[in-house]
Parts: sequence; C-alpha cells; structure tokens
Amino acid sequence: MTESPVLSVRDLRKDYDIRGRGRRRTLTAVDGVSFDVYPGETVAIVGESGSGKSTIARCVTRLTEPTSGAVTLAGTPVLELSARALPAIYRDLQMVFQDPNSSLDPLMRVRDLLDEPLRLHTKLDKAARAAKIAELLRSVDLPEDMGARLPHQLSGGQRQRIGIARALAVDPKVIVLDEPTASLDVSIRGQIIRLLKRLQAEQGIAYVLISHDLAVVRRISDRVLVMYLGKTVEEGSAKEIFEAPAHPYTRALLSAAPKIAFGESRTRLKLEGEIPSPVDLPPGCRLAGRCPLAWPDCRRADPPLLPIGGTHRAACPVTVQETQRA
Amino acid sequence: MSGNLGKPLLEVENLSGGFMGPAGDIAPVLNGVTFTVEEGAFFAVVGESGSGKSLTALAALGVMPQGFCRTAGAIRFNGTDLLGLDEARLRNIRGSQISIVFQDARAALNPVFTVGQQIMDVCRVHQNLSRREARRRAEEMLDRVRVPEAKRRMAQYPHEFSGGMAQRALLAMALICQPRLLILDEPTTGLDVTIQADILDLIVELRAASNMTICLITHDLGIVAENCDRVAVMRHGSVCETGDCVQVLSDPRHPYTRALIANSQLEEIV
Repeated sequence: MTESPVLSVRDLRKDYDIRGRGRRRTLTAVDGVSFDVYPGETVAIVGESGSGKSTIARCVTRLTEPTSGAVTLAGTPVLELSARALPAIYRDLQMVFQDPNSSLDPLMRVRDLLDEPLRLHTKLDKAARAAKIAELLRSVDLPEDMGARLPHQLSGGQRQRIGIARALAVDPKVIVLDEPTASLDVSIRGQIIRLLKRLQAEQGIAYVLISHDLAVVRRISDRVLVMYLGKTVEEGSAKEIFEAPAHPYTRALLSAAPKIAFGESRTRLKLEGEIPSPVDLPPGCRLAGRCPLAWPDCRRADPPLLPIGGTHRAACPVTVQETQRA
Repeated sequence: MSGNLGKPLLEVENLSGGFMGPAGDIAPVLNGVTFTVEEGAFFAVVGESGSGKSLTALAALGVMPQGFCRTAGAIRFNGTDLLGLDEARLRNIRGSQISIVFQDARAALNPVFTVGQQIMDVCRVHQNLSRREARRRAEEMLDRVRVPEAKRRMAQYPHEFSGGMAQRALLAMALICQPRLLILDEPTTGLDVTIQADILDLIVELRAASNMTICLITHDLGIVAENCDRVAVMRHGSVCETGDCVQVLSDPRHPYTRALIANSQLEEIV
C-alpha cells in the first residue's frame, strides 16, 4: 500500500498504579503496541480477557488516557490535543460499543440518539438532520418509523444497528468496533457482519475490530494483531495468521476454537494453567510459564517481533526459526 | 462416536407451557418439546436465545422459574415422571441422580460460604457422611477436576476463584454424588476459548471414567460437533430436528438447522 495510514499508533502504553496493602505495584495493561490502519481496511485486535485489547480501543479514542505513546489520526496527533480541541476528532473517529443495552441512553428516542452526533459535529439545520436520520436508518436496514422508539423497545440486533448508525452519522474515517457481536445470537451476528462489510465497501471506512470471536475476525479483517498480556505476540495478514500461525499463543488460541469439521483431526496446542496476573510481570517471554515449547532462554529476555516474511511477524524465536527452516 | 447407546434415561415428551400473564392468559414458550436422552449418551440441546433450551433443562430438575406454567407433557427420568413428584422426592433426585452445572459459575456459587463447604454440603445431604469423610471426598473431587492445590482452595471463597476455576468447582459439586445424568447449561459461555477447551476436555475425560450420561445445553454448534453424539435442535419452543450428531450436522434436513450451521461458520460472507 502506497497511501498513508489514516490511523497510526506508536508504542502505546497504559500502566495502572495499584495502591493499598503494602508496596505500590504497577499493572501494565498495554505494553508498547504499534500498528497502522489504512483507509478502507479492517485491522483486528484479538486476544483473551486481560490481553489489553479493549484498553487499546479506549486509549486510541482517548476514553482512557494512555501513559505514553503516540496516536495520529489523519495527520492530527490525538494524544497531544487539549480537552477543548479533543471533541473535533470524533468527526473522523467513532466507536461502536460491545453492549448496546448500556451504551444507548434508555430515555432517548432513536431519532434523538441519531440526532445528537449530527448536532454536535455538523452544521446541518433541523430539516437536513431529519433527512440524514432517515438515511442513516435506511443504511442500517431499519424502517424509518423506528425513530420514535425507545431503546428498550428494540431487540439486541436492532440496538446494535442503532449503535452503528450513530457512529456512521458524522461520516467518520475510522470506526473502532469493540466486540460488536459479542452479545448477539449467531443469526443476528451474521447480519451485523454483512452490514459492516457493506458499509465499508460503500463508504471506505477503516475499522479497528476488537474481538475474541475468531470466526468473525477471519471473515472481515485484512490484518490481525494477536495480543497476550498487553503485548503484540504476532501480527500479519488474516491469511498469514489463520493459515500459518507462528506464535505458540496464536496456535493455542486458534486450535482451541471449536469447529464443525468431521473427519478432520485436531491437534490442540495446549497451554499450561491460566493467564497469570499482569501485575509485576517477570522478565522474559510472557508466555514462557505456560508454553510447551519454552526453553530456558525464553525466561531471560522478552523477545521482540521477528520477521517471518511479508508483513508477518511473531515474538517467538523458537517458532520463527522453525518456520524459516521449513 | 455413536452406536450402542442404552435404554432411555431422560424422556421429554410433548412438554408445553408458558408464562402466566397478568390477565391469567399464558404466553407459550414451550410448544411440545420432545426428545429422548439414552443412557450413556453425550446429548446436546442447541438453539438460540429464546428457543426454550434452558427452560427445558430446568424443568427436568423441577426448578421452573416463577410464573411458568406447564400445560401439557411429561419428563420421565428412568421411567418416573419427574413433574408428578413432590418436592421432598425431587430433592432426593436432584444432586444425587441428576446434577446441573450452570452458565455463570461464580454467580451459581454462594459468595458467603467457602467453596469446600459448598461441595461438602452436597454429599453430606445426600449420603449422610461425616464431616471428615465429606471433606476428604470434596478434596479428592476438586483434585479430579484439576483444581491445583485442592486443599488450600477448599478454604477459599468463590470471589477468589477465576471463571475457569469456579466452573471446575461447580463440576466437582455436580459430580461428587456420582449422578447418572449431568445437565450442563452453557457451561463454557463467557469463558475464554482456551479455558473453554480445557473444561470441555475435562468433561470428556470425566465422562469416560464414569459412564455418566450428559445433556449439554449450548448455542455453539462447534462444541456440539466436537464432543456430542446426539443432538436436538430447538427453535421457538420446540425441537425442529433431532438425531445422530454427525448426521444432523453434516446433512441437516430442517432449513433452520441449515441456516444455523451456515451462520455459525459465517459461510456466505467472503
């Protein structure tokens, strides 16, 4: 790709101080994550609970203040903006939240929910806004008379469509989707994914997709970042990640997901125990304590992302060497 | 996987019912649910939210939510109609012959008692054991469900357990009286995939060791395909397709089953 990225994240870091009972400790939720998002593409951030994926979403949109790092949105340094200048970026950067039940104000009618971003970010008059609201409802496949409803009168899928329509209202360049289908049934999930794909094709919006649902990630993302305990352990195109996962954590994650495939034998790469506490992590690779492939060196230094080929990189010297030999 | 299954252990026959409205009318949620779980089967009930799958499972234990009203049908366990039993006899069956593991393990455990105490209670109620014997068994069971440092964990409270560990503790509680039928209501929903896979492996292993019959309620067809031998697909309060798991999932007859499979795999999306 020769164009410049619409969103660029460099060395993003978020520490939390934990006080109380004894000495002060530090929880590093996101530990130096970098990625670029180009216009019209989908970058997925996957990982399990505690991996820091939602914290990244909140830091990029400045709903949470990161400890350090840089976020550039279409040339604007997002993290350097003052509180007064910040709201202007939400014309270009919007977010769709996981739980549409709690992210929509229960006392606002659908049309007011959609009117709010238009009033804040555009100079449209009342009639033009009403026309835009009707257009937004159509674009997310909802009937226009839906405008008079309150959120509790909608189904979960309809509420998520309203969440998407709200993000679309200002014609943003980037939408951060935080687990957009996690609370939905599979048939509704399919509809929402189709809708997101269509909107992207029509309007050229870039998505940052935060998800633990590998089926969804596989279908709609161009590039994937795999997170474990605040670090990117592997990144690459969706094809590279799903067809030739290199990092042991990615392999464990992919092989753990249940599939409808008879006659195909599954070799699970099993990790030992559970994800450790992210407080005061020991030196070395974060996975070393659970990894079946770990050797003594893994506990000494934290491996950087090593190139495998193309855009594919993984933070595991053991498997990267093995892939290169093969 | 399939093959020689035993005689019917749990028979749900034409179960219908609904919730009583304010005017005394009944809003139907179950419309003639019928399926049979044979002894030794790993049976799955799949469906989306509102299909009635959890309600059917709860009905088998006689723990219907308030306001639910059965209009027709029967649930037979080993030949006895469970719905005709009084509370005292049902209590004898629950936990000792039929056990259930609920979806949100940390919510299912009582926050004010230690995990060990709660496991011990189950076998003390049903088997009249001494405190010491109950403690020994509970510890042994926690160890069998792979809770590390079982002895120390016994004295901990539910909030000190992670989601995966709490689910294991709930399994220990369900299995301590060696039930003939174990009902698992979405046992891994809300857990991370790697933890989910570990719990499912454990269930498969425990089943192999004890010859127990399992009825798994889930919305995840992938889990069904990988673990179960029989399946019933539910929609709008009735069973739309049932049979051998491989057959139903590889050659579905009902259009809803087909749609459900396509949607789970997000097939038609490029």
